[in-house]
Amino acid sequence: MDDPAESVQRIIERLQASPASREEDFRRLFDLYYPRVYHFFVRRGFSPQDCLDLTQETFLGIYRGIGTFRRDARFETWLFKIATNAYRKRLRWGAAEKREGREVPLESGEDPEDGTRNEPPTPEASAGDAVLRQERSQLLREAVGRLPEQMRRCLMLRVYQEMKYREIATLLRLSPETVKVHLFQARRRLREDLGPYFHDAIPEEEVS
Amino acid sequence: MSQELKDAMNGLAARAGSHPEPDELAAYHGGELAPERERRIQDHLAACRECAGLLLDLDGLADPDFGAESGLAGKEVVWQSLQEKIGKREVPAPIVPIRRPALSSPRWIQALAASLLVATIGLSLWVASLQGKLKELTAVEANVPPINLYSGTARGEGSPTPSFTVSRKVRFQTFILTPHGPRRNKYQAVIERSQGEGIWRGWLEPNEVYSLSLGLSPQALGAGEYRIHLLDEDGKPIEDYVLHVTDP
Repeated sequence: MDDPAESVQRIIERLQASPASREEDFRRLFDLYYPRVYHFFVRRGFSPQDCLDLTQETFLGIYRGIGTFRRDARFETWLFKIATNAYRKRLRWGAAEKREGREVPLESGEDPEDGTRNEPPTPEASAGDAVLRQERSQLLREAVGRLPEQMRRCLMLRVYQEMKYREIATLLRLSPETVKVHLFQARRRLREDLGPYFHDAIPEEEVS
Repeated sequence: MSQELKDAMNGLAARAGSHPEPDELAAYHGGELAPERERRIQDHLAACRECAGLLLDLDGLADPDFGAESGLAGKEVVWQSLQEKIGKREVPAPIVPIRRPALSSPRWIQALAASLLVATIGLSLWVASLQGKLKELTAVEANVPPINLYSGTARGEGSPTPSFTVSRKVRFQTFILTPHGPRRNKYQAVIERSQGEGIWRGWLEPNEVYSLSLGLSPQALGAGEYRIHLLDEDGKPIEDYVLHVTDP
């Protein structure tokens, strides 16, 4: 069995060299990448029908542009660009349909200006509580902003985006161990910076 | 995980800025960006779930297990639709040189065919020219005023022969002749070239006011000098006229 990467290169070479082989070799490429491309769009949150449409659009882009693909480049990177362009195009289309309105749920939605959550007032909540909560949020944001940049990024990816160490490491092109160290130090610095009053807002790192 | 800390980070995420282009994300993934640009992309990734998710899936596209069995129900539908799109418009048609069959007929047949072709073309041109001529001749011509050929004999013996000029472009010209002398029931008219070559001879009958009408086609006669002789029934000369037909 050939190395799959090498096979893809050979398929592309034939596609670029011989129009006669186009349909047969394009079908091979389609068979290899169809599930991955489809899944790429599933993970973006599209409906099954939209995923099929976007997958088709992506393969059409591959077919039309195969002549311009540089064989020394990685095919998946090129595929990523085509799929991401199709995805962004669909988002713009959707945004235009919604007349660029941003939907913010009234209940527990976030304020688009400062990112704070608009919690509905409860009978217990007083105006003083709301002010206090906003002040704490502001202090936390400022403290995170004072962290060294790589530490801050690791913390945001971990807390805000709820990513695993491995994913953070991939995104920031670090080792998972370095990510763990950054996270540990980030929490320690925040605790030191903000004092015991904020300890409950900065819990220990959960390993995952 | 602290919800309070997460909520506080919403404010930081709101300042993520615009999304990098797919080319730039791919270049970042390949470590091809300058350090400053790389830091800005990393700041954006930390704050933007969408771009972070996209970039994580770039590696997924290279993984055969990424989404294995995903969307298989629609796979053939997508392929058929693709085939329709690329089969009709995209695949360049193979270029096959046109092979002309060798001429197997003898040379004399080829020569005959060429002659016939030349003859046909010549004939077509001649017919077209005739059609043009016919069209020209049958076209309606504006009224041309008649020319009154006055009598030379009425002016006395020795007076010059009356002379008239008409353009050759006139297709039909009417001449009114009023001969001198006793009235006759009919007259002879003779038209000849200046060298004496006869062209036409015929009889003319006077109308109620004793004038004669003679119709000629200068166009048919052609340019030149002509003589018109008017004779009585017995052939005795009564009047002579000179007619000049000139080129337009």
